[in-house]
Amino acid sequence: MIEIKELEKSYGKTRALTDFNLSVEDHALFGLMGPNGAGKTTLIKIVAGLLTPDKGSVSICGTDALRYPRKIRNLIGYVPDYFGVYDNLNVIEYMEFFASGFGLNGLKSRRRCRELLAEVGLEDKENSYVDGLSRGMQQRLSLARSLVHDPEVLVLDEPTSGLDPGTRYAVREMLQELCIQGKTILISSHVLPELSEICTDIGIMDRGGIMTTGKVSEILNRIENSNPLRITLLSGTQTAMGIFKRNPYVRSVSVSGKTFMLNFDGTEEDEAVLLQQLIDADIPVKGFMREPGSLESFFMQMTSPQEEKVILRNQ
Amino acid sequence: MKINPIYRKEMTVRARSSKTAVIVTVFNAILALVALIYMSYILGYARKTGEIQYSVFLTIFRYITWIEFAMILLIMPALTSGSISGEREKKTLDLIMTTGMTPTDIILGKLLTALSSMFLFVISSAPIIALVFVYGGVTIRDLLLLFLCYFTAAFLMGSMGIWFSGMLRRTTAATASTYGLEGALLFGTAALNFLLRNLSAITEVSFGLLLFSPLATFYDVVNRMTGSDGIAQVAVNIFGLSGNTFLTRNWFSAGIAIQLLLACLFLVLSVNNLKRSRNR
Repeated sequence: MIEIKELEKSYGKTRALTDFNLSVEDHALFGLMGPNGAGKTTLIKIVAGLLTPDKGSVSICGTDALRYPRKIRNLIGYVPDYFGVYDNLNVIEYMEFFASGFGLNGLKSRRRCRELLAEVGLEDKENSYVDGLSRGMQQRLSLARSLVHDPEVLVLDEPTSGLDPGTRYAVREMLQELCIQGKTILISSHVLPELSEICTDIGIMDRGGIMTTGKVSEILNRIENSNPLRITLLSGTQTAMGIFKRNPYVRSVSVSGKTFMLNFDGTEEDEAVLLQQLIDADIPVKGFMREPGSLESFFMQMTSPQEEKVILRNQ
Repeated sequence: MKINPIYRKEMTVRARSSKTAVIVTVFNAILALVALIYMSYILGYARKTGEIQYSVFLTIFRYITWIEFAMILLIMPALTSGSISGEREKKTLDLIMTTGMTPTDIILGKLLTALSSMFLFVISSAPIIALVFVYGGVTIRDLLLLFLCYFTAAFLMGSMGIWFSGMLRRTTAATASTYGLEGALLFGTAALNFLLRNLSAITEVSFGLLLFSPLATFYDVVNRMTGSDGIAQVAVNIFGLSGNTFLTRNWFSAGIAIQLLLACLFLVLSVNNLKRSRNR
Protein backbone atom coordinates (compact mmCIF):
# COMPACT_ATOMS: atom_id res chain seq x y z
CA MET A 1 0.00 0.00 0.00
CA ILE A 2 1.20 3.50 -0.79
CA GLU A 3 0.13 6.21 1.64
CA ILE A 4 1.06 9.81 0.84
CA LYS A 5 0.18 12.55 3.30
CA GLU A 6 0.45 16.35 3.08
CA LEU A 7 3.29 16.19 0.58
CA GLU A 8 4.88 19.45 -0.50
CA LYS A 9 7.74 20.08 -2.89
CA SER A 10 9.04 23.31 -4.41
CA TYR A 11 11.75 24.04 -6.95
CA GLY A 12 12.83 27.51 -5.96
CA LYS A 13 9.67 29.59 -6.10
CA THR A 14 7.76 27.06 -8.18
CA ARG A 15 5.51 24.79 -6.14
CA ALA A 16 5.42 21.34 -7.73
CA LEU A 17 3.28 19.65 -5.06
CA THR A 18 0.95 21.32 -2.57
CA ASP A 19 -0.68 19.49 0.32
CA PHE A 20 -0.81 16.30 -1.72
CA ASN A 21 -2.64 13.31 -0.26
CA LEU A 22 -3.07 9.93 -1.92
CA SER A 23 -3.77 6.39 -0.88
CA VAL A 24 -3.15 3.42 -3.17
CA GLU A 25 -4.56 0.08 -2.06
CA ASP A 26 -2.59 -3.18 -2.15
CA HIS A 27 -2.65 -4.93 -5.57
CA ALA A 28 -4.24 -1.87 -7.20
CA LEU A 29 -3.27 -0.61 -10.64
CA PHE A 30 -3.52 3.09 -9.92
CA GLY A 31 -3.43 5.52 -12.84
CA LEU A 32 -2.35 9.07 -12.24
CA MET A 33 -3.54 11.58 -14.83
CA GLY A 34 -2.68 15.21 -15.15
CA PRO A 35 -1.58 17.83 -17.66
CA ASN A 36 2.07 18.72 -18.18
CA GLY A 37 3.46 20.45 -15.11
CA ALA A 38 0.83 18.96 -12.81
CA GLY A 39 3.56 17.42 -10.64
CA LYS A 40 3.25 13.78 -11.71
CA THR A 41 6.95 13.17 -12.31
CA THR A 42 7.88 14.94 -9.07
CA LEU A 43 5.46 12.71 -7.19
CA ILE A 44 6.74 9.55 -8.91
CA LYS A 45 10.35 10.55 -8.14
CA ILE A 46 9.54 11.14 -4.48
CA VAL A 47 7.84 7.75 -4.22
CA ALA A 48 10.84 6.13 -5.95
CA GLY A 49 13.19 7.77 -3.44
CA LEU A 50 14.89 10.01 -5.98
CA LEU A 51 13.65 13.26 -4.49
CA THR A 52 13.10 14.38 -0.92
CA PRO A 53 9.93 16.38 -0.30
CA ASP A 54 9.98 19.65 1.63
CA LYS A 55 7.17 18.41 3.86
CA GLY A 56 4.87 15.45 4.32
CA SER A 57 5.21 11.70 4.52
CA VAL A 58 5.31 8.73 2.17
CA SER A 59 4.72 5.24 3.45
CA ILE A 60 5.16 2.14 1.32
CA CYS A 61 3.98 -1.21 2.62
CA GLY A 62 3.96 0.33 6.08
CA THR A 63 7.57 1.58 5.88
CA ASP A 64 8.39 5.27 6.12
CA ALA A 65 9.98 5.92 2.73
CA LEU A 66 11.72 9.12 3.79
CA ARG A 67 13.27 7.66 6.93
CA TYR A 68 14.31 4.28 5.47
CA PRO A 69 15.14 4.95 1.80
CA ARG A 70 17.40 1.87 1.46
CA LYS A 71 14.68 -0.43 2.71
CA ILE A 72 12.22 1.18 0.34
CA ARG A 73 14.48 0.61 -2.68
CA ASN A 74 14.04 -3.14 -2.22
CA LEU A 75 10.26 -2.70 -2.22
CA ILE A 76 10.03 -0.51 -5.32
CA GLY A 77 10.67 -1.01 -9.01
CA TYR A 78 11.00 2.24 -10.94
CA VAL A 79 10.44 2.80 -14.66
CA PRO A 80 11.13 6.38 -15.77
CA ASP A 81 9.78 8.06 -18.89
CA TYR A 82 13.14 7.57 -20.62
CA PHE A 83 15.53 4.69 -21.18
CA GLY A 84 19.07 5.00 -19.82
CA VAL A 85 21.43 3.40 -22.31
CA TYR A 86 24.94 2.08 -21.76
CA ASP A 87 27.15 1.64 -24.80
CA ASN A 88 28.93 -1.69 -25.21
CA LEU A 89 26.65 -3.54 -22.79
CA ASN A 90 24.39 -6.34 -23.96
CA VAL A 91 20.89 -7.07 -22.69
CA ILE A 92 21.79 -9.84 -20.23
CA GLU A 93 24.76 -7.82 -18.86
CA TYR A 94 22.49 -4.80 -18.46
CA MET A 95 20.02 -6.89 -16.47
CA GLU A 96 22.75 -8.53 -14.40
CA PHE A 97 24.27 -5.15 -13.59
CA PHE A 98 21.02 -3.97 -12.02
CA ALA A 99 20.52 -7.36 -10.36
CA SER A 100 23.95 -7.05 -8.74
CA GLY A 101 22.87 -3.62 -7.52
CA PHE A 102 20.33 -5.48 -5.40
CA GLY A 103 22.86 -8.07 -4.26
CA LEU A 104 21.84 -10.74 -6.79
CA ASN A 105 24.90 -12.36 -8.33
CA GLY A 106 26.07 -15.46 -10.15
CA LEU A 107 23.76 -18.20 -11.35
CA LYS A 108 20.82 -16.96 -9.30
CA SER A 109 21.04 -13.61 -11.02
CA ARG A 110 21.42 -15.13 -14.49
CA ARG A 111 18.38 -17.36 -13.94
CA ARG A 112 16.23 -14.46 -12.67
CA CYS A 113 17.28 -12.19 -15.56
CA ARG A 114 16.56 -14.86 -18.17
CA GLU A 115 13.17 -15.50 -16.57
CA LEU A 116 12.26 -11.82 -16.78
CA LEU A 117 13.56 -11.44 -20.33
CA ALA A 118 11.31 -14.33 -21.33
CA GLU A 119 8.37 -12.66 -19.59
CA VAL A 120 8.81 -9.47 -21.59
CA GLY A 121 9.55 -11.37 -24.81
CA LEU A 122 13.22 -10.46 -25.12
CA GLU A 123 14.73 -13.91 -24.55
CA ASP A 124 16.18 -13.95 -28.08
CA LYS A 125 17.81 -10.53 -27.58
CA GLU A 126 20.03 -11.60 -24.67
CA ASN A 127 23.26 -10.91 -26.55
CA SER A 128 22.13 -7.79 -28.41
CA TYR A 129 23.54 -4.45 -27.33
CA VAL A 130 21.01 -2.32 -25.44
CA ASP A 131 21.72 0.80 -27.49
CA GLY A 132 20.74 -1.11 -30.62
CA LEU A 133 17.28 -2.10 -29.39
CA SER A 134 14.14 -0.43 -30.69
CA ARG A 135 12.22 1.99 -28.42
CA GLY A 136 9.59 -0.65 -27.71
CA MET A 137 12.17 -3.28 -26.83
CA GLN A 138 14.03 -0.81 -24.61
CA GLN A 139 10.81 -0.10 -22.74
CA ARG A 140 10.13 -3.80 -22.27
CA LEU A 141 13.71 -4.21 -21.04
CA SER A 142 13.17 -1.29 -18.69
CA LEU A 143 10.13 -3.06 -17.25
CA ALA A 144 12.11 -6.29 -16.84
CA ARG A 145 14.91 -4.34 -15.13
CA SER A 146 12.50 -2.80 -12.65
CA LEU A 147 11.32 -6.30 -11.68
CA VAL A 148 14.76 -7.82 -11.18
CA HIS A 149 14.54 -7.73 -7.38
CA ASP A 150 10.88 -8.82 -7.33
CA PRO A 151 9.52 -5.57 -5.80
CA GLU A 152 6.09 -5.35 -4.24
CA VAL A 153 5.38 -1.94 -5.75
CA LEU A 154 6.01 -0.75 -9.31
CA VAL A 155 6.19 2.96 -10.07
CA LEU A 156 6.01 3.89 -13.74
CA ASP A 157 6.28 7.34 -15.25
CA GLU A 158 4.65 7.55 -18.71
CA PRO A 159 5.67 3.98 -19.57
CA THR A 160 3.99 3.92 -22.96
CA SER A 161 4.94 7.34 -24.29
CA GLY A 162 6.51 7.15 -27.73
CA LEU A 163 5.57 3.51 -28.25
CA ASP A 164 3.75 2.10 -31.25
CA PRO A 165 0.21 0.74 -30.64
CA GLY A 166 1.37 -2.89 -30.68
CA THR A 167 4.05 -2.37 -28.02
CA ARG A 168 1.70 -0.16 -26.03
CA TYR A 169 -0.80 -2.98 -25.97
CA ALA A 170 1.91 -5.47 -24.94
CA VAL A 171 3.06 -3.21 -22.06
CA ARG A 172 -0.54 -2.81 -20.89
CA GLU A 173 -1.02 -6.57 -20.93
CA MET A 174 2.16 -7.01 -18.89
CA LEU A 175 1.04 -4.45 -16.32
CA GLN A 176 -2.33 -6.13 -15.92
CA GLU A 177 -0.60 -9.48 -15.53
CA LEU A 178 1.71 -8.06 -12.87
CA CYS A 179 -1.29 -6.64 -11.03
CA ILE A 180 -2.93 -10.06 -11.09
CA GLN A 181 0.31 -11.52 -9.71
CA GLY A 182 -0.12 -9.25 -6.69
CA LYS A 183 2.00 -6.19 -7.44
CA THR A 184 0.78 -2.74 -6.52
CA ILE A 185 1.29 -0.45 -9.51
CA LEU A 186 1.33 3.35 -9.65
CA ILE A 187 1.42 4.60 -13.22
CA SER A 188 1.33 8.11 -14.62
CA SER A 189 0.16 8.63 -18.17
CA HIS A 190 -1.22 11.12 -20.63
CA VAL A 191 -2.93 8.43 -22.65
CA LEU A 192 -6.29 8.52 -20.91
CA PRO A 193 -8.23 5.74 -22.67
CA GLU A 194 -5.33 3.48 -21.80
CA LEU A 195 -5.66 4.25 -18.10
CA SER A 196 -9.41 3.73 -18.05
CA GLU A 197 -8.95 0.36 -19.76
CA ILE A 198 -6.29 -1.13 -17.51
CA CYS A 199 -6.44 0.70 -14.17
CA THR A 200 -8.50 -0.33 -11.19
CA ASP A 201 -8.27 3.18 -9.70
CA ILE A 202 -7.45 6.60 -11.05
CA GLY A 203 -6.48 9.97 -9.66
CA ILE A 204 -6.50 13.32 -11.43
CA MET A 205 -3.73 15.78 -10.64
CA ASP A 206 -3.53 19.46 -11.44
CA ARG A 207 -1.26 22.27 -10.23
CA GLY A 208 0.47 20.04 -7.68
CA GLY A 209 -2.68 18.78 -6.00
CA ILE A 210 -5.03 15.86 -6.39
CA MET A 211 -8.42 16.82 -7.80
CA THR A 212 -10.19 13.50 -7.47
CA THR A 213 -9.49 9.83 -6.92
CA GLY A 214 -11.57 6.68 -6.97
CA LYS A 215 -12.36 3.40 -8.69
CA VAL A 216 -12.54 3.78 -12.47
CA SER A 217 -16.14 2.48 -12.53
CA GLU A 218 -17.19 5.01 -9.85
CA ILE A 219 -15.55 7.88 -11.65
CA LEU A 220 -17.11 6.92 -14.98
CA ASN A 221 -20.46 6.77 -13.19
CA ARG A 222 -19.91 10.24 -11.74
CA ILE A 223 -18.93 11.50 -15.18
CA GLU A 224 -22.21 10.22 -16.59
CA ASN A 225 -24.16 12.08 -13.90
CA SER A 226 -22.40 15.36 -14.62
CA ASN A 227 -23.10 15.28 -18.37
CA PRO A 228 -26.08 17.18 -19.86
CA LEU A 229 -29.46 15.56 -20.38
CA ARG A 230 -30.44 15.37 -24.04
CA ILE A 231 -34.25 15.47 -24.50
CA THR A 232 -35.86 15.29 -27.92
CA LEU A 233 -39.58 16.06 -28.25
CA LEU A 234 -41.97 15.65 -31.15
CA SER A 235 -44.05 18.70 -30.06
CA GLY A 236 -45.01 20.80 -26.98
CA THR A 237 -41.74 22.64 -26.69
CA GLN A 238 -43.32 25.66 -24.94
CA THR A 239 -45.00 23.50 -22.27
CA ALA A 240 -41.79 21.55 -21.81
CA MET A 241 -39.83 24.78 -21.33
CA GLY A 242 -42.22 25.71 -18.50
CA ILE A 243 -41.63 22.34 -16.83
CA PHE A 244 -37.85 22.72 -17.14
CA LYS A 245 -37.97 26.23 -15.62
CA ARG A 246 -39.92 24.96 -12.60
CA ASN A 247 -37.65 21.96 -12.00
CA PRO A 248 -35.14 22.77 -9.18
CA TYR A 249 -32.38 20.57 -10.67
CA VAL A 250 -32.25 22.23 -14.07
CA ARG A 251 -29.38 24.75 -14.12
CA SER A 252 -29.54 25.82 -17.74
CA VAL A 253 -31.27 24.87 -20.97
CA SER A 254 -30.17 25.18 -24.55
CA VAL A 255 -32.50 24.48 -27.44
CA SER A 256 -31.79 23.36 -30.95
CA GLY A 257 -35.06 22.74 -32.84
CA LYS A 258 -36.94 20.16 -30.84
CA THR A 259 -33.84 19.00 -28.93
CA PHE A 260 -33.09 20.35 -25.46
CA MET A 261 -29.75 20.12 -23.66
CA LEU A 262 -30.23 20.46 -19.91
CA ASN A 263 -27.54 20.98 -17.28
CA PHE A 264 -29.25 18.78 -14.76
CA ASP A 265 -27.68 18.04 -11.39
CA GLY A 266 -30.30 15.72 -10.00
CA THR A 267 -30.08 11.98 -9.42
CA GLU A 268 -31.41 9.19 -11.63
CA GLU A 269 -34.67 9.35 -9.60
CA ASP A 270 -34.96 13.09 -10.30
CA GLU A 271 -34.45 12.35 -14.00
CA ALA A 272 -37.34 9.85 -13.80
CA VAL A 273 -39.57 12.46 -12.14
CA LEU A 274 -38.78 14.96 -14.90
CA LEU A 275 -39.62 12.40 -17.58
CA GLN A 276 -42.87 11.60 -15.77
CA GLN A 277 -43.78 15.34 -15.67
CA LEU A 278 -43.29 15.58 -19.46
CA ILE A 279 -45.43 12.49 -20.07
CA ASP A 280 -48.13 13.74 -17.66
CA ALA A 281 -48.24 17.01 -19.67
CA ASP A 282 -48.93 14.93 -22.81
CA ILE A 283 -45.69 15.88 -24.44
CA PRO A 284 -44.51 13.20 -26.87
CA VAL A 285 -40.92 12.42 -25.81
CA LYS A 286 -38.81 10.91 -28.56
CA GLY A 287 -35.50 10.76 -26.68
CA PHE A 288 -34.42 11.16 -23.07
CA MET A 289 -30.82 10.34 -22.11
CA ARG A 290 -27.64 11.55 -20.50
CA GLU A 291 -24.92 12.51 -22.95
CA PRO A 292 -22.32 9.76 -22.87
CA GLY A 293 -19.19 10.86 -20.99
CA SER A 294 -15.57 9.81 -21.26
CA LEU A 295 -12.57 9.98 -19.00
CA GLU A 296 -11.03 12.39 -21.49
CA SER A 297 -13.92 14.89 -21.29
CA PHE A 298 -13.92 14.58 -17.51
CA PHE A 299 -10.17 15.16 -17.42
CA MET A 300 -10.57 18.26 -19.59
CA GLN A 301 -13.36 19.52 -17.33
CA MET A 302 -11.23 19.00 -14.23
CA THR A 303 -8.04 20.53 -15.53
CA SER A 304 -9.18 23.26 -17.94
CA PRO A 305 -8.55 26.73 -16.56
CA GLN A 306 -12.20 27.84 -16.72
CA GLU A 307 -13.85 29.42 -13.75
CA GLU A 308 -17.07 27.43 -14.02
CA LYS A 309 -15.70 23.94 -13.91
CA VAL A 310 -17.43 20.98 -12.40
CA ILE A 311 -15.82 19.92 -9.18
CA LEU A 312 -16.74 16.53 -7.86
CA ARG A 313 -16.29 15.71 -4.25
CA ASN A 314 -14.05 12.71 -3.47
CA GLN A 315 -16.03 9.77 -2.30
CA MET B 1 33.96 -12.40 -3.54
CA LYS B 2 31.48 -9.57 -3.99
CA ILE B 3 32.70 -7.15 -6.65
CA ASN B 4 31.39 -3.59 -6.77
CA PRO B 5 28.66 -3.70 -9.49
CA ILE B 6 29.69 -0.34 -10.93
CA TYR B 7 33.32 -1.47 -11.15
CA ARG B 8 32.39 -4.72 -12.87
CA LYS B 9 30.10 -2.99 -15.36
CA GLU B 10 32.60 -0.22 -16.14
CA MET B 11 35.44 -2.69 -16.66
CA THR B 12 33.27 -4.71 -19.08
CA VAL B 13 32.32 -1.58 -21.01
CA ARG B 14 35.91 -0.26 -21.09
CA ALA B 15 37.33 -3.62 -22.15
CA ARG B 16 35.09 -3.50 -25.23
CA SER B 17 35.93 0.07 -26.09
CA SER B 18 38.89 0.80 -28.33
CA LYS B 19 39.67 3.85 -26.19
CA THR B 20 41.63 1.91 -23.56
CA ALA B 21 43.74 0.13 -26.19
CA VAL B 22 44.47 3.44 -27.93
CA ILE B 23 45.51 5.15 -24.67
CA VAL B 24 47.77 2.24 -23.64
CA THR B 25 49.40 2.26 -27.08
CA VAL B 26 49.97 6.03 -27.16
CA PHE B 27 51.08 6.08 -23.51
CA ASN B 28 53.72 3.41 -24.07
CA ALA B 29 54.68 4.63 -27.53
CA ILE B 30 55.63 8.04 -26.09
CA LEU B 31 57.68 6.48 -23.29
CA ALA B 32 59.34 3.97 -25.65
CA LEU B 33 60.17 6.69 -28.14
CA VAL B 34 61.94 8.80 -25.53
CA ALA B 35 63.81 5.74 -24.22
CA LEU B 36 64.81 4.65 -27.73
CA ILE B 37 66.07 8.08 -28.74
CA TYR B 38 68.18 8.28 -25.59
CA MET B 39 69.47 4.73 -25.96
CA SER B 40 70.49 5.36 -29.56
CA TYR B 41 72.27 8.57 -28.42
CA ILE B 42 74.15 6.64 -25.68
CA LEU B 43 75.11 3.82 -28.03
CA GLY B 44 76.19 6.27 -30.74
CA TYR B 45 78.38 8.07 -28.20
CA ALA B 46 79.79 4.71 -27.01
CA ARG B 47 80.61 3.71 -30.58
CA LYS B 48 82.60 6.92 -31.06
CA THR B 49 84.39 7.11 -27.72
CA GLY B 50 84.27 3.53 -26.42
CA GLU B 51 82.89 4.68 -23.08
CA ILE B 52 79.42 4.55 -21.52
CA GLN B 53 78.29 7.22 -19.06
CA TYR B 54 76.16 5.52 -16.44
CA SER B 55 74.66 8.80 -15.32
CA VAL B 56 72.94 9.04 -18.72
CA PHE B 57 70.82 6.01 -17.82
CA LEU B 58 69.62 7.82 -14.76
CA THR B 59 68.73 10.76 -16.98
CA ILE B 60 66.68 8.41 -19.18
CA PHE B 61 64.95 7.15 -16.04
CA ARG B 62 64.26 10.71 -14.92
CA TYR B 63 62.82 11.73 -18.30
CA ILE B 64 60.67 8.62 -18.62
CA THR B 65 59.25 8.91 -15.12
CA TRP B 66 58.54 12.63 -15.59
CA ILE B 67 56.73 11.97 -18.85
CA GLU B 68 54.81 9.11 -17.28
CA PHE B 69 53.86 11.28 -14.30
CA ALA B 70 52.73 14.10 -16.60
CA MET B 71 50.57 11.65 -18.56
CA ILE B 72 48.99 10.35 -15.35
CA LEU B 73 48.15 13.94 -14.37
CA LEU B 74 46.66 14.54 -17.81
CA ILE B 75 44.75 11.29 -18.19
CA MET B 76 43.27 10.86 -14.71
CA PRO B 77 40.93 13.90 -14.82
CA ALA B 78 39.76 12.82 -18.28
CA LEU B 79 38.97 9.34 -16.93
CA THR B 80 36.97 10.57 -13.96
CA SER B 81 35.40 13.93 -14.77
CA GLY B 82 32.61 12.25 -16.76
CA SER B 83 31.94 9.52 -14.24
CA ILE B 84 28.82 10.97 -12.58
CA SER B 85 27.87 13.68 -15.09
CA GLY B 86 28.13 11.04 -17.84
CA GLU B 87 25.61 8.84 -16.00
CA ARG B 88 23.39 11.91 -15.68
CA GLU B 89 23.74 12.69 -19.40
CA LYS B 90 22.95 9.08 -20.30
CA LYS B 91 19.99 9.23 -17.87
CA THR B 92 21.21 6.20 -15.98
CA LEU B 93 22.04 7.89 -12.67
CA ASP B 94 18.43 7.76 -11.42
CA LEU B 95 18.24 4.09 -12.32
CA ILE B 96 21.39 3.32 -10.33
CA MET B 97 20.16 5.42 -7.42
CA THR B 98 17.00 3.30 -7.15
CA THR B 99 19.01 0.09 -6.72
CA GLY B 100 20.45 -1.15 -3.44
CA MET B 101 23.76 0.56 -4.21
CA THR B 102 24.69 3.40 -1.87
CA PRO B 103 26.30 6.66 -3.06
CA THR B 104 29.55 5.36 -1.50
CA ASP B 105 29.35 2.20 -3.65
CA ILE B 106 28.79 4.32 -6.75
CA ILE B 107 31.67 6.72 -6.04
CA LEU B 108 34.11 3.96 -5.06
CA GLY B 109 33.14 1.93 -8.12
CA LYS B 110 33.91 4.89 -10.35
CA LEU B 111 37.23 5.64 -8.64
CA LEU B 112 38.33 2.00 -8.69
CA THR B 113 37.63 1.83 -12.41
CA ALA B 114 39.79 4.87 -13.12
CA LEU B 115 42.59 3.63 -10.83
CA SER B 116 42.50 0.22 -12.51
CA SER B 117 42.93 1.83 -15.91
CA MET B 118 45.82 3.89 -14.52
CA PHE B 119 47.32 0.74 -13.00
CA LEU B 120 47.15 -0.92 -16.42
CA PHE B 121 48.98 2.03 -18.02
CA VAL B 122 51.72 2.06 -15.37
CA ILE B 123 52.22 -1.72 -15.30
CA SER B 124 52.31 -1.90 -19.09
CA SER B 125 55.12 0.66 -19.06
CA ALA B 126 57.18 -1.35 -16.54
CA PRO B 127 59.42 -2.96 -19.22
CA ILE B 128 60.43 0.51 -20.46
CA ILE B 129 61.16 1.76 -16.94
CA ALA B 130 63.07 -1.49 -16.30
CA LEU B 131 65.67 -0.36 -18.89
CA VAL B 132 67.37 1.41 -16.03
CA PHE B 133 68.03 -1.93 -14.32
CA VAL B 134 70.30 -2.98 -17.21
CA TYR B 135 73.02 -0.69 -15.89
CA GLY B 136 71.84 -0.23 -12.31
CA GLY B 137 71.43 2.97 -10.28
CA VAL B 138 67.81 2.60 -9.17
CA THR B 139 66.65 0.11 -6.55
CA ILE B 140 63.35 -1.74 -6.17
CA ARG B 141 62.62 0.45 -3.13
CA ASP B 142 63.00 3.54 -5.31
CA LEU B 143 60.57 2.10 -7.82
CA LEU B 144 58.05 1.34 -5.09
CA LEU B 145 58.29 4.92 -3.84
CA LEU B 146 57.82 6.10 -7.40
CA PHE B 147 54.70 3.96 -7.82
CA LEU B 148 53.35 5.26 -4.50
CA CYS B 149 53.82 8.75 -5.86
CA TYR B 150 51.98 7.81 -9.08
CA PHE B 151 49.16 6.21 -7.10
CA THR B 152 48.75 9.22 -4.80
CA ALA B 153 48.66 11.66 -7.72
CA ALA B 154 46.18 9.45 -9.61
CA PHE B 155 44.02 9.04 -6.49
CA LEU B 156 43.97 12.79 -5.84
CA MET B 157 43.22 13.77 -9.43
CA GLY B 158 40.65 10.99 -9.73
CA SER B 159 38.82 12.08 -6.58
CA MET B 160 38.85 15.68 -7.77
CA GLY B 161 37.43 14.62 -11.14
CA ILE B 162 34.64 12.62 -9.52
CA TRP B 163 33.79 15.51 -7.19
CA PHE B 164 33.45 17.98 -10.06
CA SER B 165 31.58 15.39 -12.08
CA GLY B 166 28.97 15.08 -9.34
CA MET B 167 28.74 18.82 -8.75
CA LEU B 168 28.41 19.98 -12.35
CA ARG B 169 25.76 18.76 -14.74
CA ARG B 170 27.92 18.78 -17.87
CA THR B 171 30.98 16.62 -18.42
CA THR B 172 32.78 19.36 -20.35
CA ALA B 173 32.36 21.78 -17.43
CA ALA B 174 33.51 19.10 -14.97
CA THR B 175 36.59 18.32 -17.07
CA ALA B 176 37.55 21.99 -17.42
CA SER B 177 37.08 22.57 -13.67
CA THR B 178 39.14 19.51 -12.75
CA TYR B 179 42.02 20.65 -14.95
CA GLY B 180 41.66 24.15 -13.50
CA LEU B 181 41.97 22.95 -9.90
CA GLU B 182 44.74 20.58 -10.90
CA GLY B 183 46.63 23.50 -12.42
CA ALA B 184 46.11 25.52 -9.25
CA LEU B 185 47.48 22.70 -7.09
CA LEU B 186 50.44 21.89 -9.33
CA PHE B 187 51.52 25.31 -10.50
CA GLY B 188 49.50 27.77 -8.41
CA THR B 189 51.21 26.75 -5.18
CA ALA B 190 54.64 27.16 -6.82
CA ALA B 191 53.67 30.45 -8.46
CA LEU B 192 52.45 31.80 -5.11
CA ASN B 193 55.81 30.99 -3.51
CA PHE B 194 57.72 32.69 -6.32
CA LEU B 195 55.51 35.74 -5.94
CA LEU B 196 56.01 35.82 -2.16
CA ARG B 197 59.77 35.42 -2.64
CA ASN B 198 59.78 38.41 -4.96
CA LEU B 199 57.80 40.36 -2.36
CA SER B 200 60.22 39.11 0.33
CA ALA B 201 57.23 37.67 2.18
CA ILE B 202 57.92 33.97 1.79
CA THR B 203 57.58 31.88 4.95
CA GLU B 204 57.86 28.21 5.93
CA VAL B 205 54.04 28.11 5.94
CA SER B 206 53.66 29.33 2.37
CA PHE B 207 56.42 26.94 1.32
CA GLY B 208 54.45 24.18 3.07
CA LEU B 209 51.59 24.80 0.60
CA LEU B 210 53.74 22.93 -1.91
CA LEU B 211 52.91 19.78 0.04
CA PHE B 212 49.50 19.89 -1.68
CA SER B 213 51.22 19.66 -5.05
CA PRO B 214 51.94 16.13 -6.31
CA LEU B 215 54.51 17.79 -8.57
CA ALA B 216 56.65 18.90 -5.60
CA THR B 217 56.48 15.42 -4.05
CA PHE B 218 57.42 13.80 -7.33
CA TYR B 219 60.24 16.28 -7.92
CA ASP B 220 61.66 15.49 -4.48
CA VAL B 221 61.53 11.70 -4.81
CA VAL B 222 62.81 11.45 -8.39
CA ASN B 223 65.61 13.95 -7.90
CA ARG B 224 66.81 12.25 -4.75
CA MET B 225 66.62 8.88 -6.53
CA THR B 226 68.80 10.12 -9.38
CA GLY B 227 71.26 11.97 -7.16
CA SER B 228 70.03 15.50 -7.94
CA ASP B 229 68.80 18.26 -5.65
CA GLY B 230 65.75 17.40 -3.57
CA ILE B 231 63.16 19.81 -2.23
CA ALA B 232 65.47 20.84 0.68
CA GLN B 233 67.92 22.31 -1.82
CA VAL B 234 65.05 24.09 -3.59
CA ALA B 235 64.07 25.67 -0.25
CA VAL B 236 67.60 26.90 0.28
CA ASN B 237 68.75 27.78 -3.24
CA ILE B 238 65.59 29.18 -4.76
CA PHE B 239 63.53 30.48 -1.87
CA GLY B 240 66.27 31.28 0.64
CA LEU B 241 64.65 29.21 3.39
CA SER B 242 66.18 26.68 5.77
CA GLY B 243 66.80 23.26 4.22
CA ASN B 244 66.77 21.47 7.52
CA THR B 245 63.28 21.77 8.89
CA PHE B 246 60.85 19.02 9.88
CA LEU B 247 59.00 19.54 6.62
CA THR B 248 61.98 19.36 4.30
CA ARG B 249 63.35 16.32 6.13
CA ASN B 250 60.00 14.47 5.85
CA TRP B 251 58.77 16.05 2.60
CA PHE B 252 57.88 12.83 0.79
CA SER B 253 55.86 11.20 3.60
CA ALA B 254 54.18 14.49 4.61
CA GLY B 255 53.31 15.26 0.98
CA ILE B 256 51.89 11.80 0.35
CA ALA B 257 49.87 11.91 3.61
CA ILE B 258 48.39 15.36 2.86
CA GLN B 259 47.51 14.45 -0.71
CA LEU B 260 45.89 11.18 0.34
CA LEU B 261 43.87 13.06 2.97
CA LEU B 262 42.84 15.65 0.41
CA ALA B 263 41.78 12.88 -1.97
CA CYS B 264 39.70 11.25 0.80
CA LEU B 265 38.09 14.62 1.51
CA PHE B 266 37.06 14.94 -2.15
CA LEU B 267 35.60 11.44 -2.01
CA VAL B 268 33.57 12.24 1.11
CA LEU B 269 32.32 15.43 -0.57
CA SER B 270 31.39 13.45 -3.69
CA VAL B 271 29.39 10.92 -1.65
CA ASN B 272 27.60 13.74 0.20
CA ASN B 273 26.92 15.51 -3.06
CA LEU B 274 25.28 12.40 -4.49
CA LYS B 275 23.22 11.98 -1.33
CA ARG B 276 22.11 15.61 -1.47
CA SER B 277 21.06 15.28 -5.12
CA ARG B 278 17.75 13.92 -3.75
CA ASN B 279 17.01 17.29 -2.20
CA ARG B 280 17.26 19.20 -5.49
